Amino acid sequence: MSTHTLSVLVENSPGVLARVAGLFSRRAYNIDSLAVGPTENPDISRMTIVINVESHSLEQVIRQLDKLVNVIHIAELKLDDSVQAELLLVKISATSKNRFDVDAVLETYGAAIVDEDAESLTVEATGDAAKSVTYLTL
Amino acid sequence: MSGASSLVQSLESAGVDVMFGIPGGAILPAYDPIFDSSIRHILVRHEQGAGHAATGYAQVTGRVGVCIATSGPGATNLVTPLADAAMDSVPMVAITGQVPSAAIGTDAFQEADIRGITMPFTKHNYLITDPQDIPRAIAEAFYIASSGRPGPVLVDIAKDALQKETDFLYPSQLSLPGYHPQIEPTSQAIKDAAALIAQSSKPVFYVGGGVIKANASKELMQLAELVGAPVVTTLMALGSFPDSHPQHYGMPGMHGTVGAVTALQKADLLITLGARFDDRVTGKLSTFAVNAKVIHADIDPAEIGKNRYADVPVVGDLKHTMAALVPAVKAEFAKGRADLAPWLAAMNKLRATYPLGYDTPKDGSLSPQYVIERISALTGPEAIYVAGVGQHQMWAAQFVKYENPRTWLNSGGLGTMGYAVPAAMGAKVGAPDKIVWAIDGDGCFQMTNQELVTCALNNIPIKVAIINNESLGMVRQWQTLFYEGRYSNTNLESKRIPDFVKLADAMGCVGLTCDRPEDVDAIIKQANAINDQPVVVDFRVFRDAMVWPMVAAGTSNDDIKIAREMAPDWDSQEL
Repeated sequence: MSTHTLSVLVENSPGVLARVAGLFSRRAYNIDSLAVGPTENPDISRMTIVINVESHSLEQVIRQLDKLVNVIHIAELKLDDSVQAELLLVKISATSKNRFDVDAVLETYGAAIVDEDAESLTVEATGDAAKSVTYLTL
Repeated sequence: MSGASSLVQSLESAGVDVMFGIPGGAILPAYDPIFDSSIRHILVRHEQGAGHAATGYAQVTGRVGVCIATSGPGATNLVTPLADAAMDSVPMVAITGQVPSAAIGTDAFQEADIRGITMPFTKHNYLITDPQDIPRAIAEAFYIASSGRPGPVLVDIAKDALQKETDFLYPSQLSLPGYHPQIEPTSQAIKDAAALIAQSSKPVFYVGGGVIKANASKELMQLAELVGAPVVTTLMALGSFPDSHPQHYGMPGMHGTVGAVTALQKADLLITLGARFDDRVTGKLSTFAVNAKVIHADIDPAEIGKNRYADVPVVGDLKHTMAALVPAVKAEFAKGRADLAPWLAAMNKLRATYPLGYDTPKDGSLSPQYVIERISALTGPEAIYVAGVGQHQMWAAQFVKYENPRTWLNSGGLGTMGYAVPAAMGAKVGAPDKIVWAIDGDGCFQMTNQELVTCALNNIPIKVAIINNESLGMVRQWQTLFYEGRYSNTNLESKRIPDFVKLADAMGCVGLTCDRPEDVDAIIKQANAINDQPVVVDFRVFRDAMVWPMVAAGTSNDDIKIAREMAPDWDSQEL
């Protein structure tokens, strides 16, 4: 099993997310993550799908997706020629007692504080998936 | 005009001449303009009947079959025929009414999310809430259903969209940015395929239903005779290549001939044309044709490599593919080719040693295979044969002699019991000058026989042979073989109840019965002579007849049995 990222251009029509999700479900393909957003063309949306498949069946996933009439284009975003990042928003319990320590960690990782109140901080960090995991374990 | 008139004009513009359906609340506005339309609407007795009739019509004519139903239960009753059409790649358009758009999502009376329900087994589907979208949706539906790999398309239309005023403008051009079926194969694929064919000393044509869909029987004949290899035709492909042709080896698969199954197993090259390596053909996949390279020609790229790796994939319309292969193979042969003589000699010997056959029941009762053999012999290869699902279907596949494409209809992929009567009705509507025999089981017949009323009232004189073994016969066969003869819930008692002759009579059909071998020919002739009424013949047959040969589910094709616990004598064969 290996992870692949597909960038899928679809017609922006009702039900298209259900079509894609239903296809993955009924053909027993595993979705790790799925994000849908608009493109510069209001008639077209982009789905970014991370899937976990045996390498020989990636081609099968792409061909089955391509059979959906609303799917216009599919590209695999390979790790070595694409930029992939995760955005992490995390709320941390932080009082005046540990605030100093927390600030030190945040600085090391280049994270920014985007919201704070008396008992907690919300911080934002970007990076790859591995960095996010490291970050959360601290 | 109203959205409903726009719908009916759109259907007329799409070239629809007949549709099968039942009105109801949400679709009611459409039935008013249907009343005045040039389109023949056949009022069926159950929406499932409308769906299978559309399939039967489509399979016989090659045109798009059309069915129409109301929202909710009307639409959900179309689910089985839609799934059936998807599995067998049948071009079909289903129109359904939907509750008014303001009521969608409120669990309104007769509301069902039929677009959501049918997503998995329609090629595409629509929910229309704006009457302006009706002509475009209909035009796209017919184009999508009939092009590329054919399949069913559903158009669900909200009642208010049918009622509102709109302009009718049938689109002359369609914009489907995500839909571009590849018709022409690449020249490289053709070259590679031709080269493999010339190198192969044990080739076999593995022919599927795609050849019939592509209307490519003539091209298949040219290619097959050029190469000279054995031709096996799957359940969906019967008739695409004449049974009588010396290269024909019959049907492969779970109940295929020893010749066809073994030719695939021992081949060094499968020339796969519009087939999909279905489990019923391959048996245990890892043991299927292990020494064969594979040329896989199909219009659907997703079939390539789905079940079996293809050494040479050829994506395109089979008519174009085979037309291109003929000169390419000739050019390769001119440079030289492998000798097929030892392969053909071994295969022909095997085929001659293990022809299809059956035992005559010792108690003098009627053999189901004999009945089917005689229907074929007395009716001929110009007729259309339609089967349900089960033992009778396999016997009809084995013992009817097919010479022409589009003369054999059955539910191959989904295995829909009850398919035969409504599909035969649709077939007869599509080909009114041909004799249409539904070869049905007593179990199947009791699922959908209500459409005989439709046939009787609408001058659709089909013939139905009920192969009555008073059982769910195929399930009973498995119980015999794999469940120690524990016949749990397979005894239908249909030699006792219902009285099929009275039932036929009550539905406006001629009812006949036959339980002696010596009466079979006379009864079939009598049925064939009746042209103004549907005919139902209750053939009361031997209960314990079984379908052979058989490759048990999940086992290897190498373990084919020609009768119970009886394998072919492989040692006497030089394979």
